[in-house]
Amino acid sequence: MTSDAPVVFVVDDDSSVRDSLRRLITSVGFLVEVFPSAQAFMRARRPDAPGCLVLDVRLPGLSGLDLQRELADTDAALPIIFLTGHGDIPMSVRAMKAGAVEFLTKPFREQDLLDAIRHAIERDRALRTERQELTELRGRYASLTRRERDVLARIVAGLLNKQIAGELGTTEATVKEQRAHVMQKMTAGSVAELVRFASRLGITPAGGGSNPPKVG
Amino acid sequence: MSQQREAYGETLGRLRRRLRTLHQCTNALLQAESEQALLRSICEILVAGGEVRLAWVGYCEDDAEKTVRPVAQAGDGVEYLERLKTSWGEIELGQGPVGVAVRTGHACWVDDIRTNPRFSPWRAAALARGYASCLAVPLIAYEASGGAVDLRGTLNLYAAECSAFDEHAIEHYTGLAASVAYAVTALRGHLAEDLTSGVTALRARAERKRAEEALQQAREELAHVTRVTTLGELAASIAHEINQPLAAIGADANACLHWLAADRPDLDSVRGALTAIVKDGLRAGEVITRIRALLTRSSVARGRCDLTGVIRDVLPLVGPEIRRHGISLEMSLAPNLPQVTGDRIQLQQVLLNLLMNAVEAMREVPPVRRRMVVRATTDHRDDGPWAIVAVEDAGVGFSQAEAPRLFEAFYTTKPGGLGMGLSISRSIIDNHRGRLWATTNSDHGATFQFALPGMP
Repeated sequence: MTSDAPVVFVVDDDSSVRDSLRRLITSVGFLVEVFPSAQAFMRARRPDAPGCLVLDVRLPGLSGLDLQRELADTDAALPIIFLTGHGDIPMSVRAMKAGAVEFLTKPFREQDLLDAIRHAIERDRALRTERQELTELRGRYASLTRRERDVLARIVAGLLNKQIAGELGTTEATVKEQRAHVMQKMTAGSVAELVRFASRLGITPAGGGSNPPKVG
Repeated sequence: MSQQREAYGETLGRLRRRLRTLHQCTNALLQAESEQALLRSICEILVAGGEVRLAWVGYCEDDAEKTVRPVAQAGDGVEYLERLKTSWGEIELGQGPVGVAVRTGHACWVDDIRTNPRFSPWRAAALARGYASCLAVPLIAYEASGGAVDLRGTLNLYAAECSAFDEHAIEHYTGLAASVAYAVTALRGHLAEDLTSGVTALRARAERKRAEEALQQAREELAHVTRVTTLGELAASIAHEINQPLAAIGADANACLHWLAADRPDLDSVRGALTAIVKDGLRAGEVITRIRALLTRSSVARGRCDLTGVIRDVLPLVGPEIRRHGISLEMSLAPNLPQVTGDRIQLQQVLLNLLMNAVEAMREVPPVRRRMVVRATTDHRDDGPWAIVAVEDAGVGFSQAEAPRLFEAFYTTKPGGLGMGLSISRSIIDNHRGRLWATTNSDHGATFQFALPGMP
């Protein structure tokens, strides 16, 4: 059972800033969790809810940018809003290139931070939905047999049943039956939807798909 | 019996007068500033003593007549001296007491001017002035080094009574004349020399003092410039240090607005945020106060100083810079550190410099190694407790070859460094009667430390 209430994570080594951010973000109704260092944040168990990370660039030990990189390598990436004590352009460029939502200079305008937090949470919500769908798709794909996967790769390549049967050395009737299983297991309503699923799963089309399918 | 007592009383009175006169003369000798003034004072004192009516000093001249020329006088007899012609030569005018005293080097006196043939050239004039007897004592001095005559003249006294100068009086005046002669030569030569060298010494001392003051001023200005430079290097970190509390204040103030806007305002939360705002306001203010103290061009102000306090003053300024470089900072401050006498700002500057150097030294070393220790300890020495502050880094350190140059002015390893930091730091610590030195650590980096004598 997952809660949908978003959580804002704050990582800042300055206790004044950390606590004031906690108060500000709480005052507009978000749940907040604060951490004094990147390591503390990495160690913590995060709730399964949409959220974002408000991160000070300068941190002792693991820096804000280091944390951004490490998070990107996990499957639990979070949208990040960077805070910095003084505008450091090369640093902000690096952060934005690496996918930061916003880069704010202290002292920041409250509205800028809250807007960035809302934007980031929306983005995370979408990301989470996408991630969930992908997990779901992977599960469906995992349920296919090897032969069914071969058939799927050829369906998305645009081959007809007869062509698939020829390539796989079987009968057209068998392919037709396998195709029905694929569509059912992948819960694809159409070939177009199956093609979309395949591309999200990163499946490369296989077989003589280079030839345009023959009609009749 | 009563006659005898009267005679005794008279002698006693005379002795007392002479003693007083002698005392006054001694003072005049000691206070003499010029030869002329001395001679005049002596004559005046002798006349005021009441034994003589006229006192004058004559100096021998080397003219053809070998004139003895009056150079100072006091008493009743100005016209007498104006017309007086006397000589130290072997002529008639040289046969009087003055001439004889000069030539023989001994006192010469006339008990009765009316009858003594010696005095015939001056008798009429002297009797007209009411002088009955007179005495001339030599005023002669020789140079200390050789035998050359430095001063040749006489002290001459005229009394209204006959035989006014007895054996004691002659002895008394002869001794006085010897003292005067000594004082005159001293004033002319040795004393003048002493005086000249004294003036030279005073002038040299004044110049040295001026130079020292100029040096001190230059030193203070240089210290100020390097303080400003150091703060310039720290500008980014200091901005960060001020922006932190400002950001917190902004966030808290907005949180308060949100809470107050609610249907049922959360006053407890508002109170908590306001308390934090007050604290952060003070924090930002303190940083600015510390910077202003370092920027102000103030002259040195020595006072009781607590080095732990100096460390606490400096850390907020350099702390962000330390964090920015990912350096972990350890503090080890001994309790009851002895208080020292010093200029707080200058000592802050020294520490700031050592901390900045430590940060700089670790710029290129692997992040895991970036560790700094600030240690304050007490060292009990023979002359009392000393306070020692050490800054230990794990940076690049320095080589044996670099060691002697570390504290030289304009020696720097930093790209934008002035090369003044350590040289000024050392001169500041020297001026505090302390010591600043550097050692290399056994594993990595260097330790710079200074020791200052504790206040008694």
